[in-house]
Amino acid sequence: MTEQQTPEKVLPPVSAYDVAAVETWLEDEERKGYRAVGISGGRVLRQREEHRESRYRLQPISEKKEPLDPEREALYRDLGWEHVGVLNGVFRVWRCTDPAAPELDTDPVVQAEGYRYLKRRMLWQTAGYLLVLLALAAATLRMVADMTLLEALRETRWSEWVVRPLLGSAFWVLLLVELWLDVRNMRRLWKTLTAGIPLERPRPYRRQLWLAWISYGTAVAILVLQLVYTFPGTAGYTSSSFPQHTKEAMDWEKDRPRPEVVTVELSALDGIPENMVNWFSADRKSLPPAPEMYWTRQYADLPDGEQVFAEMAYYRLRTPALADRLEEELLEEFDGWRSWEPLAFAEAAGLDSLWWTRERGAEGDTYCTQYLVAAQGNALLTLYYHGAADLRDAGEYLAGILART
Amino acid sequence: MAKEPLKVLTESMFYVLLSLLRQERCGTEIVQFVEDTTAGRVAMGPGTLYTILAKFVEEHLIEETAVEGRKRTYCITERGRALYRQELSRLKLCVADGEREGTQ
Repeated sequence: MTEQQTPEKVLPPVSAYDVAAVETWLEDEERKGYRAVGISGGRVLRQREEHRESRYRLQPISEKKEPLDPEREALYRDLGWEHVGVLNGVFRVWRCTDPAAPELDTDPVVQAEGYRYLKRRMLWQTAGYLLVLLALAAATLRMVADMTLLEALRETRWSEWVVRPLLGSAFWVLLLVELWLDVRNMRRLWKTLTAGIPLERPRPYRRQLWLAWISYGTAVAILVLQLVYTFPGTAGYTSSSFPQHTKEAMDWEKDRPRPEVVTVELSALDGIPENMVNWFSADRKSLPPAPEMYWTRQYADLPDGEQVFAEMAYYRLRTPALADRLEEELLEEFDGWRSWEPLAFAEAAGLDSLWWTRERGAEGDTYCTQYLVAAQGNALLTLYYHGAADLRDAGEYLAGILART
Repeated sequence: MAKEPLKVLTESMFYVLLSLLRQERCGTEIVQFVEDTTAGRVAMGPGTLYTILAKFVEEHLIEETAVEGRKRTYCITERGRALYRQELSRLKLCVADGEREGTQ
């Protein structure tokens, strides 16, 4: 060779535990003119040389961080075998270019003896991986279980309910399948050798090659999709500070929410003309437990200098049980509002329930700030309002809104 | 390697013990001995030899006697001789059984 080449690092296309397949692949590579000149972790360092027929053999290490015994290397070299490197920290790779040299392992039973450490190590490793996977599963489930429905509805998005669990499951299945394939290969190898049967070579690896590519492609696709769905503002979502991950629901030409948006109207509550409402905003979101959710905010400046407003959150849940749970959580959440009167149940025709409150000390004021939680069937809404109307009298109006589908 | 005592020797193991019965040898000499004795019938690969030597040292069937540079020489121990004799008897019995039953 006249010029120094920089070796190229390539991953073997098959699992290292499919020993005969890796050996065959290395031999095929050399036949194509790619000689393995070293090994770095799980990657083979190869460089262009002439096309050659060589034999490659993998031997398991017999202890953790086993040093290469100089006597062993010399003995192997005397018999035609040179050391290439250590693959994945578990297999020594040897090469022989002399067709007359003896095979590296001539006794399968003795060869199986060499696999004892690796077999034991693999057993522990597999148990360790499974434990890690189980711990991750438990942590994920715990995290999901600890989240309230209200938090889930406000902070999550569709992808977290559908895409991410699917991607996560796919990733886990992929890991488990790869783990299982490695264990299966090792078990087969062990059984074959201990039965005194030499490894079959050359071993075709086209199927493993395809499987590896599919597995690699799937893993990359899963990671990319996970990233896409992790960052806000991607996957078609607009960002919004509250509630999170909602989509725009305004018709900005008319400066009004789109017709399908369910909302209370400040004008209907307060009797003020619609054109006095000088600011409107709306967001919406759909999630598996709540297919329809809207958040609207509207403000109006009155001639006497008072500003009235209505901020509404509307939830149509998948089932009445979910609606009941959400109502409980909304009422519990209100417990933290110290400057307010306690929530009181108010009778309202057409509603299953109406919980109402106002700020302390507002009794007798023309304008006061009120809050209510109203429920009807699968739907409920919360309304944070400041104005002259008494929301307890708006039961029928709210029932009409909640009845909208 | 796990410490599992050897019960039955494979052909390669048997010949490694045989090679050390009368004199100490190093690895390449053992390979040569096996090849000469069996007229090439039993091939002894370096991987096989190295694994056997390590296992036999661990089992105290052989021991290192000298290290010259990278070359190590081994001799058989009393335990190794006993195992060799035991294996030889077993093989003789096998052959006797085979001959008694006929060679057809």
